[in-house]
Amino acid sequence: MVKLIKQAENKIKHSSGPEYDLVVIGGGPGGMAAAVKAAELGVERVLLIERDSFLGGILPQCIHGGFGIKIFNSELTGPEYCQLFVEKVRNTSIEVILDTMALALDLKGDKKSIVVSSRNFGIKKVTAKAIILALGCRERTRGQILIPGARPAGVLTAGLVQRMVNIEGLLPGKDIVILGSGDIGLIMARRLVLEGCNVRGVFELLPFSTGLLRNISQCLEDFDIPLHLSHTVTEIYGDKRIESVDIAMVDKNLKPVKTKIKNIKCDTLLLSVGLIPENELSKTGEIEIDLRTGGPAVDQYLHTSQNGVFACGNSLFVNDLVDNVTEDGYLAAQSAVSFLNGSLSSKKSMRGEKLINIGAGENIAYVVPQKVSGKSDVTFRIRASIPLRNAFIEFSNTGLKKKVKFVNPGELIFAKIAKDDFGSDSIKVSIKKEVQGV
Amino acid sequence: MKKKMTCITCPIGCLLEVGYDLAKKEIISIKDNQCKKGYKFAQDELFDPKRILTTTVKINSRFFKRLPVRSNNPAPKDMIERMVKEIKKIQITLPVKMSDILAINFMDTGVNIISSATIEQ
Repeated sequence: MVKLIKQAENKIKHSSGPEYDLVVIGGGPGGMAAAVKAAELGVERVLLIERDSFLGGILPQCIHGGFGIKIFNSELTGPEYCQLFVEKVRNTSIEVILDTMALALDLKGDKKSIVVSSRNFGIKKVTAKAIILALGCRERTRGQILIPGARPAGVLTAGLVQRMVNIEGLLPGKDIVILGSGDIGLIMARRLVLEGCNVRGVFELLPFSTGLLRNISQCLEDFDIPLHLSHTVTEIYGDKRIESVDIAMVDKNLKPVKTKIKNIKCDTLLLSVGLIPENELSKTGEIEIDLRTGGPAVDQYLHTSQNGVFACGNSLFVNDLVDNVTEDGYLAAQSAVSFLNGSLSSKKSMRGEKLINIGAGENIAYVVPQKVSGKSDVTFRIRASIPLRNAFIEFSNTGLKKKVKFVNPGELIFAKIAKDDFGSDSIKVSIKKEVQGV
Repeated sequence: MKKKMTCITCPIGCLLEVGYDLAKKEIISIKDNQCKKGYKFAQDELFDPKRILTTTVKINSRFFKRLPVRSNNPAPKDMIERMVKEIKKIQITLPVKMSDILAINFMDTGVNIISSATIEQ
């Protein structure tokens, strides 16, 4: 692949805006899946752009198991899942460039252009007939959850620490407090214990964990790491290095209870407090962003508000399983291929023909896609905002109700609606508790 | 005896309610498993708990200072912490390929330690 990278780089360096049929931005699981599928479907000139020095996105640092149950029908680690896709990329004619950042999109003209920056060829432009955005996501930081106190070293996000420990071989500290019970926080609690750290506990603001139940079991319970729900960090102490944190219980309104504060000594505070789809690039292309997901608003083809631009992976919405990201990468590629050969006309996209709006109602954080044509079956991806037992999902204006035994914000819900069930009115999706005895 | 446990076989994470006989090492009843893997999990978890082990070993490649490794099969749960400590002593020479065996029947647990990644240089 090294030779191929050099060829692609030289082409960009020495020509003014080389043209591709499809440019995929982001070489993580979503982008690799999209590029591979597009090449398999016969797209000849595919360029895959990655800003890191290797393909895979976060997969190489996710050394734990649990990946690939859907796609490969076996339980793989992140690096293994990554390797299988890197080999697929190698077996196609996809051109790959690494260490390259896409800085801006210009979608106004007939040809779409992308400004890219690399230490190997400087700032250049490439053009594309279609674009797939697989930009990934980034971690919420201390600033976004407004923890007061001093600003010492040792306050780190969980994904960053995962990269430090598993790739760079660096241990962030010895006495760890983890705020947030998302999956990365839970997985890092176990990882740090195995590396000899003392994990003082995982503290979660909400009265439930947003992580997968299996991770609470195998990462915390297996290692006797305490999980404290309805708790948060209210103060950080330390001069050069963090020395302790104040932990407070919170009330129903998530406000700290002043009489329930205790101080815990630590040299590291790990934050696992959520992920945000990365869409700075999308905004340069004036792509409509859904404020609920933080990603582009798309139709059932993952077509964004800009014609010929598709989105997948964690830049579309934050997924909990890589297999789902791969499937969305495949879907984005299929749609891009339809667009390239004219069968997905611009009329079907969000810019033209009247589309049915999909809204989020009671107990729903978000629903993807946000708009549908109503002319094909659609599998909705639904994120619940609270856990509920014995509930049903209601699709207004369709008369459809789907029973669900248990919904949990940590686990995405898939609900398929047949094309005949769509009317022409907008649909609001809600999750409601089953009323007993009716 | 009865016990509630989360099945960790797949991401669904069914909350199982298992009735069992400790002396006979038998499951008498099982509730709330969405598939038959839940039965197998409960059987193993109650009488012979096992986990896939994943950790890293020191290497010196250009971008990667650690090689991700795993056990090829689930290893006895109570051995995991000791195994992780011992695995750190394994010496690696690059290149290494995914699934390369780094240690056979590691610490007499019956599992092999294999590479999770391909790292050329």
